[in-house]
Amino acid sequence: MTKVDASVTGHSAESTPIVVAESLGRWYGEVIGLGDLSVTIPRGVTGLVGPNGAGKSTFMKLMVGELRPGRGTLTVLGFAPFANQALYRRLGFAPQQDALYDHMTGRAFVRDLVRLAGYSKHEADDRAVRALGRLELTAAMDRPCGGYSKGMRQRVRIAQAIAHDPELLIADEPLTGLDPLARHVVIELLRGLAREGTSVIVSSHVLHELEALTDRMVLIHRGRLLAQGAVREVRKLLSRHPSKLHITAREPRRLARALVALEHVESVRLHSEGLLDVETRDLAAFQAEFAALAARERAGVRSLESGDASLEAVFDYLVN
Amino acid sequence: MLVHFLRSAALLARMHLVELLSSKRLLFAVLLAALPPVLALLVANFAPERASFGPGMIHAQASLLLLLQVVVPLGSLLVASGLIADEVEGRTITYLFTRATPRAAVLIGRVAAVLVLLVPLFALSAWATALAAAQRPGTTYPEAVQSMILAAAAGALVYSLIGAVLGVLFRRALVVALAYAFAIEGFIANVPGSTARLAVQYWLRSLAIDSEVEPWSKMSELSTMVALVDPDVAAVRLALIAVGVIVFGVAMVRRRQYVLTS
Amino acid sequence: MKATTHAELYRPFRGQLRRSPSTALVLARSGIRTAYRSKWPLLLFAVPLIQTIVRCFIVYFAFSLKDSGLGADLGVGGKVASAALLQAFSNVEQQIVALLTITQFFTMIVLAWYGAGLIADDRRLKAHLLYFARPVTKSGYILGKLLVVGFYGSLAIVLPATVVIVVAVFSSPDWAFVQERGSKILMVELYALLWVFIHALGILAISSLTKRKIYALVAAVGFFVLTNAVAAFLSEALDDSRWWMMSMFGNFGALANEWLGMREREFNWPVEYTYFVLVGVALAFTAILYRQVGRMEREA
Repeated sequence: MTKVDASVTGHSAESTPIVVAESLGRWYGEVIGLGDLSVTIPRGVTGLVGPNGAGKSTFMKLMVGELRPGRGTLTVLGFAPFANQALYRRLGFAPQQDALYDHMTGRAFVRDLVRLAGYSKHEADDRAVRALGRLELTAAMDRPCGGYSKGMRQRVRIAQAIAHDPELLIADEPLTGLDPLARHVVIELLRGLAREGTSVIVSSHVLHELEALTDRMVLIHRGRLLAQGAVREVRKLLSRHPSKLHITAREPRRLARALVALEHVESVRLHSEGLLDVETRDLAAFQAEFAALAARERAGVRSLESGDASLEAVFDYLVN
Repeated sequence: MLVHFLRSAALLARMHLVELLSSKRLLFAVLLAALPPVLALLVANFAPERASFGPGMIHAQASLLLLLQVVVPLGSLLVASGLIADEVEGRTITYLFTRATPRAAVLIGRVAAVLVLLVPLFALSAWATALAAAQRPGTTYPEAVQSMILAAAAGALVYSLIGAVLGVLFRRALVVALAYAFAIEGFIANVPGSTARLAVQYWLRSLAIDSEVEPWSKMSELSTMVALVDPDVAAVRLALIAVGVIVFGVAMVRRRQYVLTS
Repeated sequence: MKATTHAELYRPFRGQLRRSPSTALVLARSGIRTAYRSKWPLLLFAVPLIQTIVRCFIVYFAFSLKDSGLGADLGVGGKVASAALLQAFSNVEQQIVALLTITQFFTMIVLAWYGAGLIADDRRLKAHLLYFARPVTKSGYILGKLLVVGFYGSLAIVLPATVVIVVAVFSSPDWAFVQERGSKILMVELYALLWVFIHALGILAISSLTKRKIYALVAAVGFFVLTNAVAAFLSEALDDSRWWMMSMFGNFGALANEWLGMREREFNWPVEYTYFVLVGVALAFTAILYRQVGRMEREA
């Protein structure tokens, strides 16, 4: 597997990385959680992607100081994370596991955890109410957590992570188990946090929703970094995989005949109902020539879309 | 920093106290604590008349054989071993350890909550046992009652701390705690010679029992036990054990990593 | 798309299920293997192991010294003392009972550790839905679980007793132990097996009442420890050793008196009472087990 780096560089003030990992490794007995991860995560919203067992949760646990690295170094906001109180004032973590204090109300749960950050009772309560409100839990906040649905429990976990206005939010699979409405609420929240200047690192299996949230990804597989950067930039670097495009046209055969003649086109596949699948080695050249070609052939092109600029496709190429 | 530590510990103590009050572990400890006085009451009312078995002896037997040797260790370890271990098993430890709160405050705060409940509980049990035994006509020994109350309270303190620290170190803390209290201590405390001094039970007995005076001097069980030391010495030793255990526990909780299963 | 049913694909089964007699053995084998995966609990066998070695040495040296005529050079008092000492040490049953007495709590912990989660975990994880969707009967399930906890309990009690007996057999001069006390060998083995059986049954019954292994473990240990402590107190307080019948320790002490000729404690009641208690306790545990497992079976 090729490691690909297409990091986006931003303004100098914002480019101070929030997470820097060098040769990071952590294992559980003989099982490798992380093998050799070197990655720099800049400010902003970053998605952490990988299949089950890739090391995403291990990486998150290392970032929030639950675990110590077996080797290598890791800094988060400039701090070594393990049991670091100074970091925890600026960090919020929403864990993956469905575990709450079931006997406590949502409000009491968030409030007490905020109080541990040093806030007074009154202020902690205000913050708790505000955070739960952002996650649309105001109506349920005075009920015990034990009576919450799975989605509500997930949202409470996120609420406790944001209530103290952290500089960095790390959320481990925050969209898992949520119905579409709740997912929308969480995604909007994460976007809102990003707009307010909070950096967010979020892992998810729901790749298209992660893409809707951010185009900056860190792809991990088998405990190592596969790629990082904007998805499209990463895709461009994968030169050995021809780009796939889906085209629908009124005259698909005519269009197909013309496309096949292009040197950089590797294959054209005709499907029913006017659909063509085209593979090209040079996407830029194709884009430059296609419009003129389609007009010349009077093919009646209805749509043109990329078949593999998605995160899923990129990930698939990288892993396989 | 100290203020923040104490404030965090107090808050965590309050949080855990509320949780404890509705827990099954505490309920079991309360039932255990009720056992010696109930049995003492039964014996006081239904035992055949024997000159050598007055209220003092009933209290002594119930306190030594039941309260000090079984009820206090079992109840304290049952409640305290879950302090950290339950949080790890329930996977809620993440919330506590990712706060701007010293890890030591998590342990100290929760231990404080347990001690606030258990120390008075078992002291009350010792007192209630004496009260129940006093239903039988005969001589009572107020000094023996006082020393047993103190020993029960001290036992609750020390065993709770041991249970809490075992909970820091082991996932199956309760199993380790029970094996320690009943298998290891049960064996060591009765080995002749200075080996017995390795057991908490030995120091508790020394705190509670003055084998020169009644009713202890009449108890046949004591003749087979290892020779005890002065109560003052025992009190100091128990205090040292308590301090040593909690310092060790604090050092461990600050360093320990907890791998939570999904 | 039109919805259809496929009733015609499901025909009622008209054959005969082959009731494999080895369902319990299959369950037992897999349970033993699963329990063995975790190596740390094997440390619980340390004390029984040490005690076994100690008792074996005592028995071996006692027989060896007896054979070599130790004390022949001593005076009358010395001869009497050395004879009494050797007699005590070479009393194999006494050594085994001493071994069991010293290690009984560790053995209890072993049984509780391996047995407390057997049914509780199945309930918690709803594994019984899988078990009883197969041709597993209640009895097969219970027997399978019993064999698992019995296996590990036997390693802590039956095996040590057997080892001591083997050492006695081979170290006694001219097979004197077999010739003179051969009948006791069977009684010792029976005693140890019964100990394991009753306690294993109790632990499984407690396990079937809860969904968490830790609660089952505490309840099991607490039950046996508390009954012991209460029995000790009441027998002393009420000056009636029959209160020892409340505890398994007392009942097995009475059995040791009867079957193995022990006099370690004065259990002043007819041994039939102990038989009655043990049978009653075993029936009660069995009833609890069948009731709880029956519920699990119906859930499936």
